[in-house]
Formats: sequence, C-alpha cells, structure tokens
Amino acid sequence: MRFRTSALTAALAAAGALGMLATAAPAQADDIPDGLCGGVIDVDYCLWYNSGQRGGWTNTYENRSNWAGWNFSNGGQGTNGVGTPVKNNAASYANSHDSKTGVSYFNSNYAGASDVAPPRDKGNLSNTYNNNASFRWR
Amino acid sequence: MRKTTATALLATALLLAGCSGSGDGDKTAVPEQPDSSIAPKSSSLTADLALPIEGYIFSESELGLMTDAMSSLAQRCMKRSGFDYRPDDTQSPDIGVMDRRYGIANSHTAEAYGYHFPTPKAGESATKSLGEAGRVALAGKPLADGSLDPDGGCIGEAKRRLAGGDAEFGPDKSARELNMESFVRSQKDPRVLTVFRTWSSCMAAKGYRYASPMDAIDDPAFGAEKTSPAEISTARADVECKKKTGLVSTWFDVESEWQRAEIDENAEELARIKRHKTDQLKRAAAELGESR
Repeated sequence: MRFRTSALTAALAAAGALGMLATAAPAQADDIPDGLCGGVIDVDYCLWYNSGQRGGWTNTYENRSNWAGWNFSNGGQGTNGVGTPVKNNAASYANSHDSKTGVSYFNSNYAGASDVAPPRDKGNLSNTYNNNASFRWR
Repeated sequence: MRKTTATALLATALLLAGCSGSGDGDKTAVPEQPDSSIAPKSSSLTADLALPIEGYIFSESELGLMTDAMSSLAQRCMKRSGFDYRPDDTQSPDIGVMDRRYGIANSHTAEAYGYHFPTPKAGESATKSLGEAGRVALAGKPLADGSLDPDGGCIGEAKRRLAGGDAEFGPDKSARELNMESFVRSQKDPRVLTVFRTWSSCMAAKGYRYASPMDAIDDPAFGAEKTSPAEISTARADVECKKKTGLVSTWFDVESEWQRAEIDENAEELARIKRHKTDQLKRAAAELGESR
C-alpha cells in the first residue's frame, strides 16, 4: 500500500506540474488518477490536512486501526501539511465509495467518539480537534 | 446475519418513526445495540447505555440502513438506464456509539482480541466492471476541480429522495459536532479526571502504567497486526479496573449531563435535527420494505 501511494504521489506530482489536475475535463473522467477520491467511482477514503479537501492528502482502501506512521503527501491540492503525520492532523475527508460508510475514530483501535461519512460524501471532519486516529469501513 | 440485522434495524427504525408522531420531544428510544461474536452484548459494560445525543446522530447501523436504501434505489435507477449494478454488500460487525467510546469495555473482546477489533479485508468494488458510462450513470461526473460530486448520478438521486430534497443526507453537522465536543470536554471534567486516577491506581496495582483508558487503547504497542499475550492481559485488567472503579458510568453521566444541557439550550434546532433523522430513517425503512 505504501508503495502504491508513493507511486501515485509521483504520478500526481507530474500531473500537477502539467496543470492537468486543475483543468481535468469532466468528459475525460478516466483521466483523473485513482486514489484522489475524485475519479468516476474510486472506492477509497481520503483525508486532507486542510478543510475543504485542500492541502496535503492521503487515502486508504483498507481499514486503519492506527494512522501512526502515515504522512500526508502531495496530491496536487496544495502543499500545506505535506510530510506531516496523518494521525490527528486531518481537517477534511471524502468518501468515494459507492456503497460503504467510512467511520473515523477519535482514538486508535476504533475507539473513542466516532464520525460517520456516507458513501459519495465529502466535508470537513466534524470537530475542531483534529481527531482522526483510526478508520474503518462499514 | 446481514438479513437479521437489517430486519431488526427496520423494526427499530419503524419504532423510532412511530414515536416521533407522539411528540415525545426529548425521550430517546434506546437504540438497538450491536451484538456480534466479537463484542457480545452479554459481556459489555455499555450494553444498556445510550447517550442523549444518540437520538440525533446516526449510529453505524442507522447509517447502514440509509445506505442500504440508497443502494436499492440506485440499483433500480441503474436498471432503468440499462446497467446491472450490484453494490458490495459485505459488511463488518457494527461498533455501537458506546461500545468502545471509553476504550475497551467488553470482557469477551478483551480476552479474545485484546485492544484489537478484527475487521475483514475490504472486498473488490463492483463498480470497475460497469465501465465508464455505467460509472457516470451511477455517480455522475467529477466536478470541474476534479473532486467527487456527492449529488451526481443515480446515487445522488437516491440520496436526495431519502434526505428529502435539498436537505443533508445522513447525520446533521451540528449534532455530529456536539457529540465530538462532549467527548473532548468530558475528559477535562474533574469527576472524570478523578475516576481516571482511581482507574490508573487499579491498573498500577496490576502492573500496568497508564494515566487514562484512552492512553491504554492508544498505546503504539497494541498497534501491531497480531494481538500479543501482553496486550490481552492489559486489556483484561483494563476492563476489570473499569468495573471496579465505575469509570464507565461516571464518564457516561458527565457526558449525559452536558449533552442534556446543550440539547435543552438549543431545543428548537435539535428538535428539527431529530425530525430530519426520523424522517430519513422512515423513508429508508419504507424503501427497504418495498424492495423486499
């Protein structure tokens, strides 16, 4: 997974340099890289360092019982927060899955208060506390 | 398993929907707590507890009901456009709002899994086989900035129908925030801090050093893929000390008190939020009742 993410990040950095992301034409939906939660039905959950799906970005297709060890990378939506730890630092999310709920938990191992995100949904994490420590698909 | 859960949920939703008509304002029907082989209700310290805010936010199972109804509507919409869409219906056991809110609080889970909660691997998505045209029909095209359109395609249509026009699908933002704020604030309450200290002494007497139960479940040592014997003995001690010190009920009471005050203070807004929740669950239950 980590490898996939880094390869993707490199591809995105290249895409960003060419300005492809900013001008991605909706008609060429498949040109939008997988993993950004923006393509026509990707099935991942994304987190951003800033609100409004901006700044450093990360994604997952799997459950994460602990976000420790993962850093935000450059997904082409701003460099703010790139390189900083994902755990307890995310301000916004998107759930691009067509049928699954994404649940973000305040603590590790799916503990503490939690916040549910319906399928095909995006928004700011419901708090001013940067509380994403773990994540689980429902 | 899934069918049983859905049926029980349907009953709960209908019950909830029925209750709203009688204008019972603040009374919250105690939500059906998840009962799985991983976290059986019979060994849970939180099985009988429901926070006041639970009447306003969506539990995993309640949002699951909404999602099932959404998928059912989307499936029919896709069929009309000539696409055979089969949403992924694999599902991991639900975690209730109270289940792990104060850390590990289930003696069976502690004994069998430590601080872990085993989850199945994510299944393959059904959408790749749809091809681009089908995927656009299902979820619409991305917005100009490349981000996903929550209102797009058959899924967007299904959500609007269940939410009722322009209203938000699923949980309300202010209710979600209240739930989070309650959790954060309560951890600074003197009564909660006192019971943390008592719990901490109880743990220390058993040879484990943690300032609070959240420190224990957050311990990086328990982040490995496999549960270690040390993790299991720590988790067992954790649950025992919670029992002995009454930590769960103390913390729960503090959160409940604050939540009730907030709910009273914003009664009108929260009544609207509860109505919107009830209406959505009612529509979802009706949709699932129809399609079964």
